[in-house]
Amino acid sequence: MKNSKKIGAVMVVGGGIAGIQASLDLAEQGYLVYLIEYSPSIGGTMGQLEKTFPTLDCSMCILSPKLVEAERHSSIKIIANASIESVNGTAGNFKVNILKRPRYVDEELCNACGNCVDYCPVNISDTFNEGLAQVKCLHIPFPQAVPSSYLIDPLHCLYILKNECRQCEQACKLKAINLNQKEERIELEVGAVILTPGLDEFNAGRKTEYGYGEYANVITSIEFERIQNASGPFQGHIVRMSDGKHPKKLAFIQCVGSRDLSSNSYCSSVCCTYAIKESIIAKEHDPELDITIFFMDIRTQGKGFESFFERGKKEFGIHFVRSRISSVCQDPQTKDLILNYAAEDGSHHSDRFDLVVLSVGLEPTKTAQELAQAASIKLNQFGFCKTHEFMPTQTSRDGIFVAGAFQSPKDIPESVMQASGSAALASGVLSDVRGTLVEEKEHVPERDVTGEDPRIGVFVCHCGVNIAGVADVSQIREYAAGLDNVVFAQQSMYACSRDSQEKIIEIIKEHSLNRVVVAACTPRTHEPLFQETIREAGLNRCLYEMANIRDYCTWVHAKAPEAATEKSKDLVRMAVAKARLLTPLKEEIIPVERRGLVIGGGLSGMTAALALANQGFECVLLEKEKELGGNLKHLFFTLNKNNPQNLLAEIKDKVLNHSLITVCADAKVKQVKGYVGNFDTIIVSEQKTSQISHGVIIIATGAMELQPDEYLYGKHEKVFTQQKLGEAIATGSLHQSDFKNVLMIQCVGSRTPERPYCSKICCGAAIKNALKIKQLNPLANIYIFYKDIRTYGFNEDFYREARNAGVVFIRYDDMHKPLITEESGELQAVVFDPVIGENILIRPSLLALSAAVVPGENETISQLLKVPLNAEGFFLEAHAKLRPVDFATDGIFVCGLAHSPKTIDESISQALSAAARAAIPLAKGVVMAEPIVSCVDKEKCFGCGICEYLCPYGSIKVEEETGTDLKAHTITASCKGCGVCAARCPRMAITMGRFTREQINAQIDAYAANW
Amino acid sequence: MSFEPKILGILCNWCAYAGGDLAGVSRIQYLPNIRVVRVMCSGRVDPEFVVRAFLKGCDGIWVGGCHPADCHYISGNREAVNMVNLVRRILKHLKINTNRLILEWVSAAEGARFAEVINNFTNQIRELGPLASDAEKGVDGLKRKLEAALSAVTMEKLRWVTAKQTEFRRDGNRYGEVFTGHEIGRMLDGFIQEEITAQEILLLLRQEALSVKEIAHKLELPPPYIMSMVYALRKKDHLILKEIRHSSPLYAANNN
Repeated sequence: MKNSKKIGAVMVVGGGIAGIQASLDLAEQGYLVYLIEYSPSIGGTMGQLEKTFPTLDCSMCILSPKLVEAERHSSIKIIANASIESVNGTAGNFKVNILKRPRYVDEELCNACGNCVDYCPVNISDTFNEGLAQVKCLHIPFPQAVPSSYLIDPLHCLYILKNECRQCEQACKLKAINLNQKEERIELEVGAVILTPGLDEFNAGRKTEYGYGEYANVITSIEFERIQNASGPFQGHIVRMSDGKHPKKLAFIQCVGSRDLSSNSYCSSVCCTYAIKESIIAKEHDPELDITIFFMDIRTQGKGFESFFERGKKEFGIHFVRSRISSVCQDPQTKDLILNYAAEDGSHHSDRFDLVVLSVGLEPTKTAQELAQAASIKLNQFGFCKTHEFMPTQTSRDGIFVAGAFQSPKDIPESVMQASGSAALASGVLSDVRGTLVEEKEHVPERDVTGEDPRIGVFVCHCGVNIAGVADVSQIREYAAGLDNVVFAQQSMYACSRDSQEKIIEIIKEHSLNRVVVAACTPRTHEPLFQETIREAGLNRCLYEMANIRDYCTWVHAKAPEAATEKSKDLVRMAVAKARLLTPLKEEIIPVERRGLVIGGGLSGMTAALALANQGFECVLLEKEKELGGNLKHLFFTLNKNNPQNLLAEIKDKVLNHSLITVCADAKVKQVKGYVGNFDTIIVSEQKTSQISHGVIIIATGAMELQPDEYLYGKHEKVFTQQKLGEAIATGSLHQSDFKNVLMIQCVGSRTPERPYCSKICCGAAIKNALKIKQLNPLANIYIFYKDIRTYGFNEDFYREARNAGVVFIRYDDMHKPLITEESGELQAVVFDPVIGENILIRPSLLALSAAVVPGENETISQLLKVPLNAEGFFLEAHAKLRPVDFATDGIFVCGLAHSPKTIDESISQALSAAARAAIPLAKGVVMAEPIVSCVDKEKCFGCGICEYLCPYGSIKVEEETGTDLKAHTITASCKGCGVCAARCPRMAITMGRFTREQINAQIDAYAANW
Repeated sequence: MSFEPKILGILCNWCAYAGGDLAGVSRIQYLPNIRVVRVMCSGRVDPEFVVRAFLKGCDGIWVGGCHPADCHYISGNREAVNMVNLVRRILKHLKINTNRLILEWVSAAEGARFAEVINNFTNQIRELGPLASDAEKGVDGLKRKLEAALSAVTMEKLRWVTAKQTEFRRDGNRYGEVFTGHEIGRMLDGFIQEEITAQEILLLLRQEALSVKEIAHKLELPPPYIMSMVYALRKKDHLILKEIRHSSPLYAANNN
C-alpha cells in the first residue's frame, strides 16, 4: 500500500438506507463520497414501506430527511441511474469505472416543476407502486425522489422508440429535456468501496401453488405495503384487486420463498415482524378486519419485536395459526380464496379469505452477480455477499466493505448499523487522508447590518405555471412592493434556477437589501438553497424568510385563482412581517476534545475502541474486571464452527498493543460531567482515582446470562445453562455418558411475563451445543423443548442440520412447561408432547437451560450519563430504526449487549457502527450548532428549572453561577431548537433563534383582521 | 357576503407542515381559508400565540404536530397537548366555543389527511360563525377579556402551572403527590379565573379610576370577590388608590 497514494474518497454502491447512512457518516467525517445508485432515485426499499416496525413510524417521513441530507451534503456526489463496471487497484487506491445510463432529463437543470408531465402521452406501469398504478413515461420515481429530477423511460418513449412526439421538449422552459442524451462512462478514484445494493423481494410467481399472478386477490407483502400507503395507488384504502371491494377476511402466508428447499433455504429474518406490522396497520384502519397469519415459527427476535407480536395478538386480535400452507385455491365465482390446512392439534380446516398476502422473502438484488463480478468479490451459496462471522462487514477483497441486506437478509436498524460499521472500517483504511478531498467553501465576509433599518427584497416565483398558472403573480409582486420596509420586489420564472440566483445576489448588493423574502415553494426543501445565495451576497443566512405560495397555495387551490392570489398576498405579508424582525445569528462552534471513552471491555467495547483508534483517535477503554473479554471469555465455538477464543486472543492483542488505546482494567466510572465534545469523567480503580477529558462516550457494558431459579438449576450438578454447557463441552469436563439423553429447554426466563423479550441468541446456542454433542456422540438423544425456533437468516441451515442429525424438537407453551424433578439423584422430566397429546417421561442425563440474556449494570451507567433505559433494562437508543447506536443526548453511543441481546457478528457490526458515529465529532474537531438554538435571558431567569426538566436532550441546565442565584443556560452544542423550553418558561426568559416570540407574534399580527 | 372563516394553522416543521407539502405535491385540493405559521415543534407553540391570534380576529386555530410518539423532538407534542389544555379552558372561561381551537396530528405522509383536517375544520368554523358571534355581551367585552387573557398567559402563574403539568402527572410535586388530569384541570381553572379577572380589572383601571362597585358592575361579578382581587392587586402595587369620591375609594392602575 505504501507505493500507491491513498485517496480520501469512498464509493458507496447502492442508495438505500444502508448506503445513505454509510455516505452520511463518511461525508460527516471528512471524506468525499460517491453514492452510486442503480435506479433513478436513492431511497431503496425503505421508501416503499408504509410504516416501520415496531414503532410504526411512517417510513417515508423518517427517510426523506435523510434523502435531502444526502442530496445537499457538499461532500456527497450522488450518481443515480448508474452501475459500476469494474474496480481496479488495491485498498486505499481504487479506480472504479461507472456506467451512467441516460435519463433524458438534465438533472442539473430540471427543478422538478412537473410542467412537462401533462404533455407526455404515454402511460407506463409505476414500479415504485409495484405496478399497481400508472405513471407517465416522463415521470419522477416518487415525490420525494433524490435527485429530484424527472426521467424518461427509454423503453416506452415515443421519440426514442419511433422518432415521434417530442412534446415534452417544448413544455420544458428550462430546456432540461434532452432526448438525445447518451450513456456516460465515468472513471473515479476512491480509497475504499462499500457495497450496499440491498435486496429484491422473492418473485412470488415462482411458488405457483399460491396462485400469485393467476388469482387476482393473491398479492405480495410489498404490494400490500403500497396499498396501505396513504400516497399509494389507492390512497391507503385496502381493496381487493378483483372487484375493488374492501376485504373483510385476510390471510398472510409466511415463508414464501424462505425456509423452503425448493426456493431459498434460509430464513429472511424480517417477514414475521413485517406481517404483524402490516396486520396491525390494517386493523388500525378497520378493526373489524379478520386477519390470520399462517406461520411455521414466529421469529420476532429483534429489539422490541416480541412485545409487538404480543400486541398484535392481544390488542389487535390477529389470529396466528402454526401451519405451513401448501396451496391456495380460488373460488372462480367470487374470486375468494380457499386455504386448506391442518392446525397444530391435527384438526383439518378449510377457510375462505377475501385477500391473501404472501409474505415474500428477501433475495440479493438482481444486480448482485454483476456487481460481485465488477468488484471482484465472492458471494456465498445463496448469492449474498460472502463474509466471515467475525468480520461481518468485510468482503473477500481488501478495502471493499459490505452492509445491509446484501450481506444477509436483515431489517432496517441492522442495515443502518452495518452501514455505519462499514464506514468505520473504510475510515480506518483512509484516516490519514481524511479531509484531503473535501473543500471548505470560502465565504465572502458577512456584511454587518446592525443599526440598519430593514430593507427587504421580495422575490416572487412563477415556478413555471405551478404558481403563475393559478395566482396572479404580478398582483402579488405589486402588493409586496407596497408593504412597509420592502424596497424591492421582483418576479422570476424560476427563483431557484442558477441564473435567478445570480440575479438575486446582484440585486441584494445593488439595493443594499438586508432581508430577503422569497415567495415560492416550501422552506423544507428550498430554504438552504436561498440561504446559501444570500450568504454569497454577504448577508447572514438568518436574514431570510420564505412564503410557501406553491405547496400551500396554488397547488392546493388550483380551482380558486382569486382566493389563491389573496392567500398568497397574506402569506407574503406574514413573511415580510417576520423578516422585519430577523436578526443575523452566528453558528456557534464548540471545540471538541479529540478522545473517546469506551465503557466496557468485552467484545463490543474492544471492537469499538479498536475501530476508534484505527480511525486515528485516542481512546480510553474501561473494564470493570481485571481481564478484558467479557462474555467472549466463556465462548468456545459458534454455530458457524468458528472459535471465539481465537477472536478474543487476536483482538485483545491488538487492543493492548495499540498506541492510541489506554486500557483501564479493574476500574469504574464514578462521575461524568459535560456534554458532546467536552466530557470530564472521573474513573476509580482500587489503586487510584483519575480524571480524563474526552469528546465522546461509547457504552458497551454488555449483559449476562440469567442464572435461572427453576428447573433445579444450581441444585443438580447436571443442570447447565447453554453458556456453561458450551464451556463444559469445550473444556472436556463432561463424559460420554452425560450425552446419552440430553434435554434442552428454550426460553428460560425469556418471553415470560416477567421478561417479555426474546433473548435472540438462545435458539442458536442450543442448536450449536446440540450439534457439538451429536458430533461427539452420534448416538446421543437430544430433545429441544421450544416455543418458536428462531434461527433467522442463514442459521436456518443449522436448524435443518440438527433435525437431520436426529435432534428432536418438541413444542411447549407456558401451560405445558416441562416438569423437572430429581429421583434418587437422577433427573426426571415430565414433558407434554403436543403431537401425541400426552405427557412423556424422559430421564435426562443432562439438562441444558437456554437462559435469558439479562442486562448488567446498565442502571448505574444510565444514571451517571443520564441516558434512558427501556422497560427491560437495556439502553434505549435515540431512534429504533435510523439511530440505533445514538442517544437523544449527543456524543453518547451504545453498542453490544447493553443495547439488546445479539450475536457475535451483530455485536461487532454495532460496535463498529458506534465507533463510526462517535468518530464524527472527533474528526470534525468542533460541534456546530444551528442558529435555531435557545438562549436564556439571565436577567429574567429565576432558576425554576422547568426548562431543564422538560428538555428532551438535557441541553439546558440550571446551575449556580458564581456569586449569583440559580440560572439556566443552554448547552448550545446539543440543543436541537425545538423550543419547548421557550414555550414553557414562566418568565418568558428564553428565546429561540429564527423563531422568536416577537417574530411569531408579528406573523400572527400580520394576519389580523378587523372584527 | 357569506362568512369566510379566518383560520390560522401553527404547524410543526417535521410532520404537520411536511404533510401540507405532500398535500401540495399530490395536488389535493382543500379550502383556502387557512394561513400557516411554521414552527420547529408543536411544543414551541406558546399559549400567547394562540390567545393573540384570537384577539387579532382569527375564527379558528389549528395547532398541528407529529402523531403521539412520533415527535421529531421526542416529546414536544406532549407539551402541545398541555398548551391546548390550558387555552381551551381559557376559551371556556371567556365563553368562546372551545371547538375553535383544535389539536390534530398529521404525519409527513398524510397529505390527504392534512386536506381533510383543514376542510373539516373550516366547515366546522363556518357552522360556528365568526368569533364575534360568541360574544354574548358585545364584541368589545370579548376583546377586553381576550386582552386580559393574553396578559394572563404571558405571566408567571398560569405559565408555571401549564409547565408543571408533565412533572405533576408523571413524577408528582416535591412531596411526591402525583396529580390526575382532573386535578390539574381544576387547578388550572382556578388560576385562569383569578388571573384573567385580575388582568381585566387592570385593563379597566388603566382607562379610568373606578370603585369596587363599578368594577363589579362592569365585570358582572360579585363586589366581595372584586374587593378581594383589588386588595390583592393593591398589595402587589399593581394599582393605587386614586381618590375618594362620595365616600367610596376609586382605584387606578399603577402605571409605574
